[in-house]
Amino acid sequence: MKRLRQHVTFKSIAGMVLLLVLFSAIVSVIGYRTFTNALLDQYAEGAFLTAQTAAELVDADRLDEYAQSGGTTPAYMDVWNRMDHLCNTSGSTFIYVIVPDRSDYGHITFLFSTIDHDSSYTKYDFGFVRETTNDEYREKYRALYDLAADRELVIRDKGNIETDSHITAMIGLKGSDGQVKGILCVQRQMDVLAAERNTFLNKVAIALVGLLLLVIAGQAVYLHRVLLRPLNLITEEAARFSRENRAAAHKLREVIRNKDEIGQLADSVDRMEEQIETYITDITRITAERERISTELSLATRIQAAFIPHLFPPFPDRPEFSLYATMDPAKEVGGDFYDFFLIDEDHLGLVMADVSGKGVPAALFMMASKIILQSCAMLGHGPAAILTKTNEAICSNNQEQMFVTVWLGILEISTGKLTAANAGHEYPVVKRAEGGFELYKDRHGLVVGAMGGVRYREYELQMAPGDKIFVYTDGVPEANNARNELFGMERMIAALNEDACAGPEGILKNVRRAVDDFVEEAEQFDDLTMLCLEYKGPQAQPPRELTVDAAVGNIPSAIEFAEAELDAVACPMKAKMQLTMAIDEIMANIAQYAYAPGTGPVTLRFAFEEGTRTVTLTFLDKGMPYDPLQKEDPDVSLSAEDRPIGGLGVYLVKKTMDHVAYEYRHNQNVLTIQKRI
Amino acid sequence: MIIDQNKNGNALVLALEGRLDTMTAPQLEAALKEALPGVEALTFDLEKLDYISSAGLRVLLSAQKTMNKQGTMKVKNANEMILEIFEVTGFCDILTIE
Repeated sequence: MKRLRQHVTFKSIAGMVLLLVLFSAIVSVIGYRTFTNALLDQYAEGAFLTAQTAAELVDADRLDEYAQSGGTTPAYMDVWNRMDHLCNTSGSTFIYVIVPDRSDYGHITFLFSTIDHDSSYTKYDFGFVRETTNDEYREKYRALYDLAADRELVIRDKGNIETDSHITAMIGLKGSDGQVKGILCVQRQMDVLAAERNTFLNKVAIALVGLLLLVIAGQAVYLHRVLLRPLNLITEEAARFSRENRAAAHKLREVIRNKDEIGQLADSVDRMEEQIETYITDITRITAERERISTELSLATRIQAAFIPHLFPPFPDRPEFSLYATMDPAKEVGGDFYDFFLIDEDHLGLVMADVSGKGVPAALFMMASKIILQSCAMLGHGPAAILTKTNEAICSNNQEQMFVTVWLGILEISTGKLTAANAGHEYPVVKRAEGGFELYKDRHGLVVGAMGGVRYREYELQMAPGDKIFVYTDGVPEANNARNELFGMERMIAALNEDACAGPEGILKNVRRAVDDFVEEAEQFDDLTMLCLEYKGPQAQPPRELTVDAAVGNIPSAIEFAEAELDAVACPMKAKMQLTMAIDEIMANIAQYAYAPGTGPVTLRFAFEEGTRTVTLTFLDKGMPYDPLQKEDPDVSLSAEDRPIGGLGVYLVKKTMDHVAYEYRHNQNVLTIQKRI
Repeated sequence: MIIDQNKNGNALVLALEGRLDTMTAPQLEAALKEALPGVEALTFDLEKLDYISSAGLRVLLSAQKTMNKQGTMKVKNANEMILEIFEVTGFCDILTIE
């Protein structure tokens, strides 16, 4: 900043100084010249006047007579005396009369010669002959003699002669015959001129220096006052504003009173600050608001996601079926949902539904629909009755005229009988054990929530072991790609059949991948929700289980039971140890907390899947609901002194098992652990 | 679980055999309470220990805390599964394992 400031001042002042010096030089030259010429003219006029007067003293016709006189006759002396008087009273230095030799004017002969007595010159003696000083004189003598001019002037200024500056005025002395007989010269010193001229130049120089100082000071003060101080104030204010983002308490305009562009700049900065401050306030408010909404929406997303079952495999202790489902809302929250729940130990409820509309309103309606549907289903009626009841409940308070399409199925686990009803939802897709997936065109009823008094009809579907059913929402077949084409039923069924023998999770992944490949870059427009159930058939043998009182003392018998089962399936030593340890940890937990301070039954169920060689152990107790998996993992990096004693058991189980799941179901804590052996 | 105590001056070696779990941990805890005073070098020989549960880890941790005040403690001959448990629980940083 300082450099720039110096820069501006320097530039501006240097410019002014340069201009002034140039101007002074021109003025000096012109003044010098005018002055010199005027003085010279004056000198010359004076000299000629004296010459004229002196010429009156000399009778040209008698020049020869004077020449003969030898400079001593009374007549000669009379003229000389008067000439001498004139010389000393006219301010001339030298008055003399000469006769040049007419051959080449190379020599002159002095007839009269008088000098100013105060000067340092000495007069030439009568008849003294000397060489003509230079060619200029020679030419001028010739001009006078040739009558080419009446008078001539020679200026010997300083610089071209060694003596003092002087002028010589010459006039021809004409005889009565009109011919020039001699030349009368008057020499005047130009000492006055030189002195005057020097004084003039000195004065100009002093005036110039004074003016320069004045201009430099004035310009510096002016620049500082009018330009730099306000500019600095504006600069400082701009820096302060960018630092604090807050308009100043005192406006720039209160300090900078310029009415020029600087003043306008100050005005602009003041206005800009006000506007930016307003803008910042607005932006802050809007951002805070947006942040709040975004936080609430992400919270809503989490609530919604947590509200539908999302732990898979959902019922690890039920080997009779396998189930997988996904939900991908297009927006933060969606109107699609799936649901599944065990109505009792032999009935599994399955729901796939799609609320009209999207976003928050659909999500709210979805939550209500899900709760009402599950509550009705838990009453133990068939799907048609459940839909009818749900419809009545929703219609009674549905002012926004929203509706929901629902496919509802109830699987009787022991027999594989699936009873279902469809309220305006997409056709389910069914795979028979030996065939591929095919659309099952079931009978549709009216969507739920449209009008009261609707009766729904249900149908039955006998599922054999290996059969699968796939239900979905319209987001799947109606997925759009960038060319606005629909994914369609055919592509969906092709994707299902890509590997029809895969488990439910694999099947859903195949469909999802096919949809993703199809839509490519296009934005997901609708919610994508799918559910697939595979019926595996009733269990060949009743589950192996042991029920004991929840007490530390019973842990050995539980371990003994498990070891016998594990030995029967040839479990390797390490896995057996890890499973035994897990039983120890979990049983100890249940014994300590589930029924505290009393005790109650705990059941340990053992299951083994031959295909994947997976051991599933399920712990069921009727104690107070408690999910041990919720507990935060201990910090295993603490030192011995800082380590709390305990809290490691569940952590060890999580670390050594392949899968751990908790559920509170039918008033029971159900904790399942799985390990491949 | 069998606990074999071998005391030599103020050095104590405890050889554990079987399972150190919820049932047996109190047994070790009691043995330590009795034997630890005056011990300056404590060694756990885990060669014949099959596995250790969180209850066992608890006892080891409290023994380590006691020995931090009065001497040294080390653990030797632990099997692969037990070492793995020390690893995941961060006990390998607390205990001196040989």
